[in-house]
Amino acid sequence: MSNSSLSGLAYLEYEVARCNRRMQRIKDNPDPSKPKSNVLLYELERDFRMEQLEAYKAGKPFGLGTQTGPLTRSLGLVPWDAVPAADRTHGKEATRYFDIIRREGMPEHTCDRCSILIPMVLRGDFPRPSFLATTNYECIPIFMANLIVANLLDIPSFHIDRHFKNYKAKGKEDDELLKYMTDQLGEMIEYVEAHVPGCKYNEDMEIEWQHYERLYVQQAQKLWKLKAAIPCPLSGRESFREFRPSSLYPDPVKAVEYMRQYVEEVGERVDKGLGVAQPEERLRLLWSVAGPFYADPFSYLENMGVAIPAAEMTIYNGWFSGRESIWGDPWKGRKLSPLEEEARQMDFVWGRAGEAWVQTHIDTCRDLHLDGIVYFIQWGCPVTSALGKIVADTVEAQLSIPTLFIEGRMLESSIYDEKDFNSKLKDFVDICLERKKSHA
Amino acid sequence: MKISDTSATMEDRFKALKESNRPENRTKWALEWKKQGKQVMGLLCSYVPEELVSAAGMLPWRITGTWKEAAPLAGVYRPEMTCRYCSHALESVLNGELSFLDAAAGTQLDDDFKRLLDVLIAIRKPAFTYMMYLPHASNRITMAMWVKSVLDLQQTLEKLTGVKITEKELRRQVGIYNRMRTLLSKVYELRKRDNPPITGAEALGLTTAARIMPREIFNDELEELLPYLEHREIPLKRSRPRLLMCGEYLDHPGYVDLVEKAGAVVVMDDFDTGSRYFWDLVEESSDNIIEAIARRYLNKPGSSRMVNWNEQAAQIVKWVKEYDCDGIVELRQLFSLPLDYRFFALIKKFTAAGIPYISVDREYHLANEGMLRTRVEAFIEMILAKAK
Repeated sequence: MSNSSLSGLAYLEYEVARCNRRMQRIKDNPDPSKPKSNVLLYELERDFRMEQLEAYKAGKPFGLGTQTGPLTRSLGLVPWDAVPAADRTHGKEATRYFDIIRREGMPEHTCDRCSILIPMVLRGDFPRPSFLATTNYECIPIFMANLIVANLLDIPSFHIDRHFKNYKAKGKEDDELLKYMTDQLGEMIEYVEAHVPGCKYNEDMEIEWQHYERLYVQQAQKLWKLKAAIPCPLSGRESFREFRPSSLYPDPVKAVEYMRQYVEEVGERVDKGLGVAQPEERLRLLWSVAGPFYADPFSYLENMGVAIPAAEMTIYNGWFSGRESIWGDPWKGRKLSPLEEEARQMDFVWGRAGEAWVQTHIDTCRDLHLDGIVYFIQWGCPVTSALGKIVADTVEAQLSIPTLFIEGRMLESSIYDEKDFNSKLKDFVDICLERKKSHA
Repeated sequence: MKISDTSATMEDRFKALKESNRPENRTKWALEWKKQGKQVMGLLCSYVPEELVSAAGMLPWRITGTWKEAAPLAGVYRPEMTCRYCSHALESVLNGELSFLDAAAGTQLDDDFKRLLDVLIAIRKPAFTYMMYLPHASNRITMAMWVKSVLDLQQTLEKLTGVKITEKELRRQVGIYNRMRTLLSKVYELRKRDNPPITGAEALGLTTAARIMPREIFNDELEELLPYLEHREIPLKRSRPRLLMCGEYLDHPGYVDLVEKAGAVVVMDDFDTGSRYFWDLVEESSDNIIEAIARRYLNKPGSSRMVNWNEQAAQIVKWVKEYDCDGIVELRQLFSLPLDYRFFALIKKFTAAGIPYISVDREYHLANEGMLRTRVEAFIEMILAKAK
């Protein structure tokens, strides 16, 4: 994004143009090594940004009901996704935002995305929301970032608080905590209907969005099984592509179709025995938390024969592996109401006590036959960084595999030293190979 | 046990009391308690209802992190850029300073605290650590869940100690704690005077002492000292500017002292370790004492982790008026993320109220005094120039 383009709704306009450019490039010069389904993905992203643009210009309500999507849409809100939007500002653009953050005394020591979204919104690069739910469903920085935006722009907001207990754990479902969350969502709906013009909750619509969310995640569950293939068919970049719920997009049917096509293509790669690690797969690593999105450590690893079948971020691997219940799964043998379902899906891993975050690493490493963990110590993310050693110790004790801690920022690149970063990766790969040899 | 021998002067007794949380004195009361065969629970959050801990026969003892600069043992678990109080508290646990603790408790107030508790649970130091659920907003639904959380704490304490917490004992403890709160309020009331009889650093010494001593002993001593404090005089270079200080996890009086030495009179604070520890009473006449305790803790002046920033700002503005303050100095703990966010909301409110405000980063242990003093001196000069 060039500096000159930054005014008003510059971010959305830029994203629409970028998606169109990418689709045109694929049409003009198709790259057989890239998934054909990418065209659908770019269409989805473009359609979403166009929907936001048009909605904003037409004065339709924008907002964030919860983080999981269906409720936001069924309230009549166009999703406001400033956190993932901030993720796309990596590199020079992120540095430019950090210059503003430092100059104006905005929060600098928190994670990049929760810092950057503040100037993005306050300066009008990203649309002003009509409503914001603040919640600790996941982490405090996201809660605080939404709270400060609501506070400074006098935006109606409603807080939903969650318990740190894993209340949706299969076999240990907690009715009281589910009711706690459901009741709060009910209050939030009343609040939104009373305070945000144009918003009215539509339960039928929520049922429909949740239905597509289920279909979408079911496809992702098929992908999980393919990730276990040796050699690994996915590049590290693909593994690290953050999960975007189907309810984010205006056309959920197309979203499900995209995921179906993508899984089919990955399946074909598995059938042909194609792997990304070159010249052959020697090692499989889990990449945890975040990474330097402005750099490409994955290609560096892949060229050393190292595959990254999965990234560990919050709840996603739980959904993909089937360990976490998804939309439409039974709850103690019964079907949940749409609002209860929304409440259940707010039980994200980082909002829980630490045991869940430790366990998901162990489960992923087992499922995907992994040999080590690269644990990115993301500045300003205490929910992950302050538990790294416990994760490493537990994984070492239970699976006898090592963990590399590597510190940095995910979007702001001014402190990044590629040589230093890669040399740490190289040393770690050597350690993992030695360990693997000794296991054999 | 008395704080100092009876022949000591009142000033000596006051000195002993206000210095109870200095490193050389800090564990004295806890160790004495242990000698009597009783247990000590380390607390990591001012939202844990202390009345319940006391009713179970344990001494609620607020964990002060090591005041030493380095925290090398904690650094293995916690990166540099995380809450400094949590790191220094963990260092105290790991270096053996707190090996006398039978248990620890805290809330998941924010991610730093949640993960600190997770680590203590994982490494089993102390032998038992309890994480208590605390909502970040107060309303009908969250209050009901918070009451349940308080009841869960009660059950946990009963299981841990084998002591049944009776309503009678709980009400007795509420009386003791309310007495402490009332006494500390009286001390703070004295700070409204043109020439306050105690400094801000001394006030912080008192509130941090209250949290580590058997509360009845603290109350008795403070009650005896109050008449003396009412007539005490401290030499002031000048009576203005009068400042309110903000901050969280600030337990080193040296930070308040440096503001006072820079030429200000610190007459009020918005510290979780200060006014927010004792502000508001539990409604003793309530039919349901657990609910009354829960209400007091969730509705007291809030932490920056709570959603009600506007109310927090309004409370600070109210204090500024009541204590006739000329400005606000916030010493924001480095890497305490919620304070970084709330700062922007506070600026908005304080500017609207016409209150001069400065917010400066600080370490947890006393450090960078020269740099901080320069910033505060400049702020004071600005206020004085404006007054002229």
